[in-house]
Amino acid sequence: MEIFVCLRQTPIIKGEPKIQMDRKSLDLSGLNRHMNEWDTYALEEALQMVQKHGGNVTVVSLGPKETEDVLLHGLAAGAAKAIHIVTSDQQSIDNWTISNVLNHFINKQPFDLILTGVQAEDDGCAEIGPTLAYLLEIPHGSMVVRTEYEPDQNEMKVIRELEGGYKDSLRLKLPALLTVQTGINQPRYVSTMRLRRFKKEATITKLSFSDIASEIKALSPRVEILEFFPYKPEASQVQWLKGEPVAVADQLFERLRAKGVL
Amino acid sequence: MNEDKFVNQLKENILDIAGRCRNCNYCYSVCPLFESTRGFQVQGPSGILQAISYAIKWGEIEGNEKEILRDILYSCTTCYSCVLKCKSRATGVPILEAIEGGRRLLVELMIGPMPKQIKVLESLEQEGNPYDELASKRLDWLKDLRKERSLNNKLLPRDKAEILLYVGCTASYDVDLRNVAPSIVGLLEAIGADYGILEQEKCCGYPAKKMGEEGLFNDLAQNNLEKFNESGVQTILTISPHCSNTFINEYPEGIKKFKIQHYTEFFAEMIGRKGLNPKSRGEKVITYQDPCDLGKRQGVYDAPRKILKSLQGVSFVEMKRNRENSLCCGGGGGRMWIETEEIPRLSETRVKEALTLGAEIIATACPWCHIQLEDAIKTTRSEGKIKVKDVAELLAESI
Repeated sequence: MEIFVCLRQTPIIKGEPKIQMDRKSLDLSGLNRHMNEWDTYALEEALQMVQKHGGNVTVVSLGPKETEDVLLHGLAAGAAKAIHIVTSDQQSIDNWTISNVLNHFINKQPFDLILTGVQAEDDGCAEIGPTLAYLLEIPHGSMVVRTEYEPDQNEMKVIRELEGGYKDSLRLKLPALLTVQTGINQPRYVSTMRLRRFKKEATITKLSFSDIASEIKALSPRVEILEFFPYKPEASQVQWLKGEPVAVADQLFERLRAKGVL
Repeated sequence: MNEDKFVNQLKENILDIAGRCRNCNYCYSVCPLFESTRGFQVQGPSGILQAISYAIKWGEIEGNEKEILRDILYSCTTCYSCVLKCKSRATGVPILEAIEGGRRLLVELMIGPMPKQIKVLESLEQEGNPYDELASKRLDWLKDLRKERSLNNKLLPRDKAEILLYVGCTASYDVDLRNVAPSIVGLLEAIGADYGILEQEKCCGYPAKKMGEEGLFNDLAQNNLEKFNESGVQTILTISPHCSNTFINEYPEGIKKFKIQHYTEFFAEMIGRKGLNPKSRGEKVITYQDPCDLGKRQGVYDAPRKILKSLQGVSFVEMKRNRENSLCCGGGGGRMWIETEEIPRLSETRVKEALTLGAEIIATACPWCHIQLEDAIKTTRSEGKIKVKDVAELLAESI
């Protein structure tokens, strides 16, 4: 099997990061970054598939220089090849553009399967997988929690997670695209020493985002962010109970009893 | 890639150690894992050693049972009891070196660590602590203390001091231990010590070391050593014995220029001197949980006892299993973050032992023993009958 895994590097957001002056995005300076959590599961699923059925995993990511880290992680975890579509540091690119650039590249490669995470931690849009599948004109299954490759039929059977505790199962002819849900597997841990060895010795293929984008006709952003702002809970909805745990439990009990819950 | 060479070296070391084991099984008599599980061979030191060595010999490390092997290797608390027993009764096999080597091997082969430990390692790398807490909040306890009283502490390495109080991650962040670091600061102030605290302290690396992440451990060790050197201190006091043991026994050679002490050693020397004159306490009966990393690893048994016995009006009673025979609380070796079979929990056994002595307080000098025993007091419904206190808290309250 030849499997592409699309990886994204996302910021690790803790505490209260600042918003940019234009109020359209987060100030990412000083934030650590890592592989988008959903993508770690997609990568692991791909690696397990080739371990079982043979083949290769190619990881691809779009972003500035720092994006190399997630690609190195992919190689150190067991991917055979890594493709970095390099953007400039300040470039803000919408998901329609990203999907088109990925399509433009992947379209020219032989593949059986593309895996992406269901969504990205930073924008939560869950767009790139289905959009890429549409552009590539291949079937896709989203929110996949289980996969089963049937080599004789060259098909993939998947189980998808729906709301309300329901699931459904699909059968897709390959080539196909799957967006992978967290919890489908246990992503392997790649040690610091292993990452360092791969940093010295591995090769990442570099492509220029602007070169690829310029080859795509009439490519322009379809979405404009109007404002980026934090959620502010209404103060009256929150009451902090203070004190030692036993005292807090007593207060909570009395409040619940007063509300008729207990 | 040099990976094969590195992996082969790890395997050879393990096989060499395993080859020295005579299967006499003396180690089982002191193993807390064996005591608290169903008693399978692989739930004891020699059995764990054999499991990893046969997996290597038969080429089964990455086979279908790799997760079972992983679970076996990571169930050990690394309390060191087996090593001491083997030294005294058998051939002195460095069993733990092989078990920890096995963990390093599994991490290199991307089989380890345990799934719940992965987030711990990520937190160590990103925030310098294993608790997924912000690095920027590490000194919040000190900021809060400075609001209550004026302090003479220095901030290192910006300032210079004679003593570095290495607070450690648990004492910095854990709510249950919120009084421990302030108690020690209070004691240092009382004796007029010239002490400082690192402005940007990071984990000593113990969790990374025990989980088999040698690269991350080396990074943390190097970072800390550089800060220690910049700060110009001569003595490093630690709150956690895991930190002092890691510094003394696992850090690079450069650490040897510093005098490393657990705080109990330091304050035991100060009793009766320089303003450290303990007075009476209300509670009467105190027992003591010997932390494995303080006692078995560093041989520090008398210092905490000297402090406890100096508290006037206190009756000190020894646990039946004490000193090198002390029962592990179950929290070491990375087990704070995973659930393993324990029937009953080791910490619950310890609480029950303390209750049979009529103890009102279990004193300890280790943050993880403290947390384990605190939880066990709740799960055995012993609240109101006994409580856990750090030796530092007891001493600080009495002066």
